[in-house]
Amino acid sequence: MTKPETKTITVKKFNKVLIANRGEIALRIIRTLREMDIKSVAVYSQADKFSAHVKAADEAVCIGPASSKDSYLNIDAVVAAARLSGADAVHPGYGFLSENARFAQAVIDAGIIFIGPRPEAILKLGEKSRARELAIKSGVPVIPGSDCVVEKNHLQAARKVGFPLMIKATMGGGGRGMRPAMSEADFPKALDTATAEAQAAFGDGRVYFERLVLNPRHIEVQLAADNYGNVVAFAERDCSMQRKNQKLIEESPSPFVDKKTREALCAAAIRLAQAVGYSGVGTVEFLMDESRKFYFMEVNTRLQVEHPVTELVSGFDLVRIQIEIAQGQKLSITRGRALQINCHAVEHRINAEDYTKNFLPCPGAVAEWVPSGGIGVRVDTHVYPGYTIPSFYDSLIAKLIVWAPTRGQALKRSARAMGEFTVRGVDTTIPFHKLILNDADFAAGRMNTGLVEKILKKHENKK
Amino acid sequence: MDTRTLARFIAWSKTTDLQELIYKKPGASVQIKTAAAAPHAADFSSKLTPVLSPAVGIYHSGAKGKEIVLKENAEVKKGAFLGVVEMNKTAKEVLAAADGLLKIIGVSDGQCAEYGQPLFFIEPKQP
Repeated sequence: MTKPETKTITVKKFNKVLIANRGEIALRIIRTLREMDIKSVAVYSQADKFSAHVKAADEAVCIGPASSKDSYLNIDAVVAAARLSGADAVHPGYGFLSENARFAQAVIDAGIIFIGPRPEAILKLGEKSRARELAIKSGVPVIPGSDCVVEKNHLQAARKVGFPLMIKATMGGGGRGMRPAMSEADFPKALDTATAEAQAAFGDGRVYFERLVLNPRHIEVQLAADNYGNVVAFAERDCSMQRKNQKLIEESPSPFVDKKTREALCAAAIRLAQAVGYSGVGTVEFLMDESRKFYFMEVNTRLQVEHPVTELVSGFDLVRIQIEIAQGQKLSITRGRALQINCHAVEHRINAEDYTKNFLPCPGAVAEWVPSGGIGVRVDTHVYPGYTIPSFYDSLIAKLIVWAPTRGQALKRSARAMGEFTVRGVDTTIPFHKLILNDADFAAGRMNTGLVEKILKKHENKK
Repeated sequence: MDTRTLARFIAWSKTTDLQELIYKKPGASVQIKTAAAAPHAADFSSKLTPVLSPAVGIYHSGAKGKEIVLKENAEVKKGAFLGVVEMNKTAKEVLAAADGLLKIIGVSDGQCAEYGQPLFFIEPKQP
């Protein structure tokens, strides 16, 4: 465990914060800044000139052309905008440069505060192999694996890892170069195929093994840590409803996690944060098997898309907490208070995509836009009637978040709110969310990371 | 002035290309403005070619080894060096967008510029 640094931390209120992002999250951050009497500076690309975050901010600076590489991902341009506007701090949002240690360092080098963890912590946790090592050292369970390239005695190494297991190409990534071996009998054939495939695809036939977690759930723990060594964890989020690693629905608390498991999850996440002297908000992601055993996956060293469900369940504004930490303030929340569950919350990501065409993005002009409202409904969006969704960025156009005393009531509310949400001009994933809400497994809380694909198939077969 | 004279005055003014006419004598004064005198909507088209800022940052009229003095109405060649915009750690050159006369210098050394902001206007050379 790294001891918190002994350097003195000064508490200084920000006057002006630059938001190095676009879309709904930029707007989300501007709202909290306004509540805290802090001026906001938006940055935008030429494609976002008419974007809502540009209008909402106190100031706005054009930083580049439409392509993200030359605007939102251009470290020099964003830092220049921060310097020119006289911002005290930069909030990176999520995506773009939010987990880029070089960006965090460039902001700091310019004499500006980066609202997030220190660059060293981003580096340590951002690299998968280093993060795994750290997890092992801090006693956080990881998926059993060979931990290195297996060059000989393959079967022996496989037995040590345990079946079922996944054979992964050393040079592979993004789901490529993987072969499952369900049992020892399957193993020789799977190994031959995997090695041959890896050789053909990556020019390197070396492989390593990892235990396969069957029908896993994606469970994650939201953390907040200050610069004085205090860390709190919030009730878990269940993000099992995902397609190709893209989350569609997130909820909190998980209908599967019991109190004992929750405490173990949070304790593990806190240990990992303390091991790197983490500060800011962050999320530790786990896979959970059918017996509620959980395994460390990765850490996201930033605010997440699905942070609102935690805000509703706990009653805290996570962006405010982020800013207070960056201002040098101590966390004012106790561990017990952070873990308090006040309601059940569900977030639906609404994307401008046609789910019947393999979720093909549908940018274009929004002719009609009537978001849902009423009790227990929050809509985070940057879209307005007449807005043109640019084709350069991701297709998230709104997050519909509902909350209610119980999961059953929350899902009823989701269905009601989904029925109210009217969008014309572009295709959205609203019809697909309605399908999910009608699914018996989802309604009963029997989710795993394969359920979305299963619902899609079931629907296709019906047609 | 009686209304009949005024009507004839207006009718006559329409036969001319006058935009504004002021008539004054003790006890009476008339001021007529035709529609042409009103400011046009913003759809003016300029013959000037803008030179846009290639980056967000601070404009400098000189760079290492490249000192220049910019003067309005000076002749410039397309691609001529007009200064740099310094971002954080990199700088981008500002280059003349056309052959012609440097008509408007809209930026001075040390000023901030946004990406795409017009810094200069060049009157292109007639072919």
